Amino acid sequence: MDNQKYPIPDLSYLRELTEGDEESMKEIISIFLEEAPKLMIMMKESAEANDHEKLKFATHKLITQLTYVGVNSIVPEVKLINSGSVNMKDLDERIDRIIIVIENSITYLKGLI
Amino acid sequence: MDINNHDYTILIVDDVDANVLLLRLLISKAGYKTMTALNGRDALETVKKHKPDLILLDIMMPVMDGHEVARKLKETPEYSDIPIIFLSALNSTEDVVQGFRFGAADYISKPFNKDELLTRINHQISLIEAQRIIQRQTEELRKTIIGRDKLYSVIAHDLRGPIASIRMVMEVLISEIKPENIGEDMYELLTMANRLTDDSFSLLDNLLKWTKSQTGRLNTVFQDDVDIMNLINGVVEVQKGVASLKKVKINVVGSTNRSARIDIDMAKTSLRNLISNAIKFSYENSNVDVVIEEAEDRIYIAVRDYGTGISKDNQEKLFQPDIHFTSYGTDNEEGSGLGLLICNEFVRRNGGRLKFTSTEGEGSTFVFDIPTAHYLGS
Repeated sequence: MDNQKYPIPDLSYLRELTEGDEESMKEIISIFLEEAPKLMIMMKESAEANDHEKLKFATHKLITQLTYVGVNSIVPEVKLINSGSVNMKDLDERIDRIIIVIENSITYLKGLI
Repeated sequence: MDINNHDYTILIVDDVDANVLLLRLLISKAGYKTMTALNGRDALETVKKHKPDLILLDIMMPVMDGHEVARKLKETPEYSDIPIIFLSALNSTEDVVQGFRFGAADYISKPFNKDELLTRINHQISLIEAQRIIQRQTEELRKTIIGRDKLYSVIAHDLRGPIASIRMVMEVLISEIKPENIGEDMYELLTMANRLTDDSFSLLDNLLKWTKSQTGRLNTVFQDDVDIMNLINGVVEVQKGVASLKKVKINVVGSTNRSARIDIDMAKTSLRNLISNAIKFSYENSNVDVVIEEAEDRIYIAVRDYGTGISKDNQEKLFQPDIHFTSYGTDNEEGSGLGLLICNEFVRRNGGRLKFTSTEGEGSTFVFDIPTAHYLGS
């Protein structure tokens, strides 16, 4: 995967919240690394099953966590799915794009801890 | 207001570990104690066990969502006063409004701004502290008032009996003993003692009644067909004795044959106080008039004196329970400041109003009315 295609996670918000505490930052990143794959699977499966309530729940949880670890570029897209997935004809494509960015970010973040 | 953050516990409720971790970190650094719960059901259990001071509550959670948690807490009187700040990524106007409908004290959108979060928490804590200060002060004030009223009541009640007995003895003495038998000086002392005893009895009687009325222990006991003229004559007759010591003449002007439904004791106390005041502020050898006037549905009873009158400044202080206003009579008689307050209260309880007019140096007229509508023609 070409890392240069996707923006590097911006950790400035997390650094501000933790006041630069490295241990706390690593802990939040670890939680993201543990939770994000589960939420991606939940997104994918609920979209395929047309379970929009479950999809709403998954995207809702993802929004905050993406913001913590600075994967900001896809947050507007996730919010759109969260608020209006029912009428999206290209829902699967959108989710695939989001998953690629998250996977790329996970690779980057793993290198930090 | 000095707030010690260590005294306050904040419950963080969120199913995302990262949120819980960050919130706990920030709130602990601000000095507050924290507790956490990962879903709504656990949050309710924690509230029951530990009763936190403030709750930060996520909305979208498994098992039980934040709105349901808030609803259950607001339904339980024991926990309904715990402020809730909703903390949610659901941040449309509709979501925020719904949060407040469920009883939120505030609403913070996720991802949150650190300073905003702490400012809003501090604000809620300062409101809690202010509320607790008010509750403590209210409780202290309540206890002080109860203690004061009990003290007044005990003093007034326990002293009233013996003073009433002394008063009776004094009245017998003053009516039986002639000045020439004991000498002018001794007779004057006896007269003074008689007046002081009478004043003391009136004071204790007023004190007892005022305390009872203010503590809700004085019921208004209405009696049917109270003969108003009989009531007035009875009070005037007793007061004539007091007035004679000051060579003041009490004149009853007018008459009525109407009856009313009133509390006799309150009516007598009101009239007694007004006549007593009129005598107190009258000069020697003057008159006090008790004037009875009939109107369509009520009777007006006025007590008029031609004494010192009341200055404009002092007139504004009358009838105000929070201002202790009393002044000396023409013979340096002391007062408690309770008489007019009692009159006002008792007249009002009997469906009337107490009014007055006064001109300094010319005298005062206090007038109250008694409703007699149901007894017209009786």
